[in-house]
Amino acid sequence: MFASRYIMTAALRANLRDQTVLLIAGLFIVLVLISAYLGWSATATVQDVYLKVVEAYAAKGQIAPPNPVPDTPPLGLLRNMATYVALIGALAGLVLGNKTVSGDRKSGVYALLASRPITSSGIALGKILAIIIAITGLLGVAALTNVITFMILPNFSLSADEWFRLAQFYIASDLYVISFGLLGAFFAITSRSEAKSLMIPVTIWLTVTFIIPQLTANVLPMAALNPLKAMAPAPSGAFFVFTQSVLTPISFAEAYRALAATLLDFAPPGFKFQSFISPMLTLMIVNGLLISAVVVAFGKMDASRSAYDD
Amino acid sequence: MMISQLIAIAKKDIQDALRTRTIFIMTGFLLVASMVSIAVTHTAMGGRLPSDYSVLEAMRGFVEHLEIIGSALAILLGYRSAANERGHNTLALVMTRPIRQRVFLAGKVFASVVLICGCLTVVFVSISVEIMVLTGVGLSTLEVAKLAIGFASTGLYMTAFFLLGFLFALHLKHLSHALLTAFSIWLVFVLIAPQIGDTLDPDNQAVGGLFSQLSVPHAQEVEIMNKLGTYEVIRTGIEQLSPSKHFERLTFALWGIKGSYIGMPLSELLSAKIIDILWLLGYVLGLGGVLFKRQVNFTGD
Amino acid sequence: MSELAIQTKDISMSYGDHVALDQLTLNIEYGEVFGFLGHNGAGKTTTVNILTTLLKPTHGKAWVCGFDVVSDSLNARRQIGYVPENVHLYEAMTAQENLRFLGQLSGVEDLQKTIDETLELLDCKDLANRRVGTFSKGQRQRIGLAQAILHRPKVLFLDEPASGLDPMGMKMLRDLIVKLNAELKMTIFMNTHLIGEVAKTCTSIGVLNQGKLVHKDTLKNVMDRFGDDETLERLYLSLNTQKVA
Repeated sequence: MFASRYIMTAALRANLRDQTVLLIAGLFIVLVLISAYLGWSATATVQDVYLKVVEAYAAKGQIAPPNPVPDTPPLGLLRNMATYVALIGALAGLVLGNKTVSGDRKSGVYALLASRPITSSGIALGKILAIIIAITGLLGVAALTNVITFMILPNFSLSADEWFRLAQFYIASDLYVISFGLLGAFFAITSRSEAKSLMIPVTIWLTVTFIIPQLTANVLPMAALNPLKAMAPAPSGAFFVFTQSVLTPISFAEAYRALAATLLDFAPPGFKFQSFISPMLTLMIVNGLLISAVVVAFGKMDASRSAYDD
Repeated sequence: MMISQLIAIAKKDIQDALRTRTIFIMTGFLLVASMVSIAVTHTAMGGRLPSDYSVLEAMRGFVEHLEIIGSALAILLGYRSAANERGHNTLALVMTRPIRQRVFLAGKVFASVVLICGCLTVVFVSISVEIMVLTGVGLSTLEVAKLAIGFASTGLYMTAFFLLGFLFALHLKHLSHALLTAFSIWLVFVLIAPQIGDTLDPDNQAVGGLFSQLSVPHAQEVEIMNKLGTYEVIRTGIEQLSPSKHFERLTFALWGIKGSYIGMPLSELLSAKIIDILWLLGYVLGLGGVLFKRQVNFTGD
Repeated sequence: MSELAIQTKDISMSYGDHVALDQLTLNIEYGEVFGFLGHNGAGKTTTVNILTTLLKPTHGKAWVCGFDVVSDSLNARRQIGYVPENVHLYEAMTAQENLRFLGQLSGVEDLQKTIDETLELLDCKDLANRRVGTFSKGQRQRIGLAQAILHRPKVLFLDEPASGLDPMGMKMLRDLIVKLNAELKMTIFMNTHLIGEVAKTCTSIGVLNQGKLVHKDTLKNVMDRFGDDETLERLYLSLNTQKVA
């Protein structure tokens, strides 16, 4: 356990000194701020548009229909966060996971670690903890940014329930990003080439984010990035009934989005996640499986020839 | 001598991509995504052929996959092309031979353009067959021409991202930073800029469209949007930055995914989309210019 | 043709505040086997990088066979062969494929025949069809040498060629250097910090310390003055210590 702690500390220190990790983390934080602005801006603009429509109807002596976009609940302002966590958060997770393992592989440090009285699962544990702490730290900063935004915006005060749901949203986001961190680490251990160690998880990320949602609900790739469009119900028909029942339980990108939509109040009325497993449980199961995979992969790694081929 | 050197470099790169199966993985992934997308879109339409249906309309999801996956794969191809030399420190061996830097770079770019075109040929031929099988309608000469122009635009679009990956992998001090920096830019160009443009569009704030929910006719919609001048300038400005958006506008028009272009003569359509074509060309030429202008560090330090 | 195989005039190389090479002036005649001695970081590799056209000096000029390495780099490259300290080849390709590719870039005529002859010369025909990724350090070094002499350059640059080789590998390398110099009339410029190797193979030496040339003479003169390998080592150490102090 002590050995794991040292490995974890060394990995965290290396991550903090890595410019790439800092760059991605910085980009994520910038997007958190943009997300809050976008939510506010889009909502304000709709109000503006609606007022102009009312004026136009009034000029014709008619009464405008009711605003189809009702007052957005305060948490709904953060709806873009769900998209950014799924995009840059997941990519940041992949990078962090990859870097936490690949640096030592390239420098040949695993031969030095393996020649000491530490088990491979001890090494794996240290690395996994480093990934979890780094990602939780990153999301912690994002959460803090949101909290400050809500505290300084006078028009938006959150109820106790809303604060609780915001916390749950960040737990779900943390789990989601950690799963990509573990995925990045797994392929950084198992791939023979460094390029493949990034290429394979990126392919999985693209599949989970863009291909599976299309199969289950005909969500086109670009619509998958729009928090509202992505929540559109699936077309009717036997095909989608079948794909939903088979794929939704393992589609953790959709599980995350469903959870985020419910917690942040932007799910359409009557929305129901089409899976027999709850979305939070899906995220937990995925993480559990990935942790086991990383531990097994470390156990099978040949430390004497750990360097990449490229 | 220069031509034979260029061919030698291109040949080696192509053989390398075939040997390591990179190009097969790339093509396979893009092919699966594209074919799934067309089949799903066709299924979602209930397999119907509406009266104003463009045979190529089912390609909307395909365009979006080309935008996202095509560009990501092109970056990987660019990264590999440079990393193969830098990672193995073979640049020094190559560049101590009587070869000009621009010939070396041209050979590498040429190889990757050939690989991209090969990958796209497989994908475009497969989806054309798929569309014909699914709809039971053969493609007209005009549709084949539109597909061919779309193919060329995709080649241009992917070349821009190839150059991005290649440039960073060739010039950044640490090779490991190159792929991630290129991917960060990819995120901004391909996903975030169009996403911001899309999310900020007031019409997208209500399911089914804000203006149609309010029964506002198109002319009045334009009038209202004009009143939101600055907001719209910022929104479209962000969209303009993205090569993906230009690629999307061009292919959506070409393939009749955007209804207003259905039935428009090809020459008229192309002149209506000339700005998007120029943007795409601009990205390729701009990045290509930087690539050929900058001195490469051959010592690997 | 220039009378000198290698000539540098006041070349310097700086990285920010760090001066890697300080006004180096060097003349090496055709047919010499020149041993360039110096501790790690003395500036030997920087010198080779400049002479092989891979780096542009921040100051000064250098010529190989009379061709300016900056303004006429293409012609300079036609005259040289280069074996880096760690020979990196295309791992996924066989030795033969590597040689074919690099030979094409050098414009070698009758390439297959030349490859066969070169592999024969270096006594490694058995490696031709094996993938480089499976090679030992010594085997890699031979193919590295093969690629460098494929086009029969006038000047061959070797950067720490003995690094990491076992005694057998070092002996083989020594014999090869002598052979290339004698049979193919190549001028050889060899970076090293192994005194023993210099004494056994070189005709002249230069000692570099902190980017400055602190001694240059023929090996014969040095041996006449000092006698044996051990004193040569002392000479090297004393020159370095003096400058460092």
